[in-house]
Amino acid sequence: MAKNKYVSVFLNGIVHENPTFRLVLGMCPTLAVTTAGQNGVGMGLAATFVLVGSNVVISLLRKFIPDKVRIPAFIVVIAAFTTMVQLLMQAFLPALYDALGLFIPLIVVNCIILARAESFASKNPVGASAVDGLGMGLGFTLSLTLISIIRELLGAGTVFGISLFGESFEPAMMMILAPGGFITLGLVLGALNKLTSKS
Amino acid sequence: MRNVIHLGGRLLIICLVSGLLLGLVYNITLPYKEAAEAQALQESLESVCAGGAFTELDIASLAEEPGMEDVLHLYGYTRGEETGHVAVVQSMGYKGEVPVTVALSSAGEVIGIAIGSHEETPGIGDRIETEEFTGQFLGMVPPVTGSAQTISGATYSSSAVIAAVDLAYQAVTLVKGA
Repeated sequence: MAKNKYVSVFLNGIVHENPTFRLVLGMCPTLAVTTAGQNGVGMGLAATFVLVGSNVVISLLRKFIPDKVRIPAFIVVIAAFTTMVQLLMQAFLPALYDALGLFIPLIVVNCIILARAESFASKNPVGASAVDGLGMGLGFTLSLTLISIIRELLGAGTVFGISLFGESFEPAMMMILAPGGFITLGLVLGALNKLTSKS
Repeated sequence: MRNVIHLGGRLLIICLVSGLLLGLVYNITLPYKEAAEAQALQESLESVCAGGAFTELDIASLAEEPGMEDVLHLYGYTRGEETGHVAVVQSMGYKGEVPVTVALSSAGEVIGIAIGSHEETPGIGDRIETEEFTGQFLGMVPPVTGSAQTISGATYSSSAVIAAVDLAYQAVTLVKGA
């Protein structure tokens, strides 16, 4: 495969088919964990690891996995990678693990990962699948980070835990609660659609 | 029939390989995970009783008493001339268990309290972490239910901490009496 093909596969995940802002997939973690910058980055990178790993393995096994049982086979591979992330995070990043909690095991059912396994990795060679996983994963990470920063800034007055406005700033608590997640996501989606619309 | 064996066989191989790999990762990460947990526990002990020397007490007999299943760890401490106990307990808050570490002097006075990682509502329930709330317990002799102030708007979360302090006191009393 030509080099520029890899670049276009990579950029596809970050821009043209950004999982959060273009495909609107994986909304559950998007709304739930984006309360603080580091949670968004951590969740995004954990999903990226699972996505790259499962894409590579599923691409390698695409001739071995019979078509009729492909979904259970994909789920087993994805679950194995997710459990690995969980074990590694518990061991080496316990603070992040506490913050993300329940949402780490739920990466298994993150529809972005199953969607890429089904629509890309099971039909393409290993190299392209790895690049696709990386692109999609980083696209997801960037989206989560953007939403997290907006919510953390307005809801707690900090960015990545660093206070920006000083003591006098009264944060809008709602922004780090569930309604703030929906409002931020909606406004960001709308703004991006406006910016990228051709008319 | 052959088809079933073929499909099942392939799936079985994938499951077996995944299982083996997970077992391997689990065994490799286990010591690091335990070290991280032990360090977190040590830090919570330090935060309620800085500079103390802690010895873990056996709570197997305690667990049989009613209401004592939420006592996670119990330590005796000595700090210079002082002695007392530290109890790590959990109590049901608004969204799950809230872990609380309480240090009690030999006279039964609360000398330190720390709230562990919990999932109470940000901005509402998590005010239980503020010194304004936890500070009121210092110097109190439990039971504190009725005398300690709850946080308005966060009754569940703050009541969980108040109940935890009383639970810690009961556990220490039971251990002393035994």
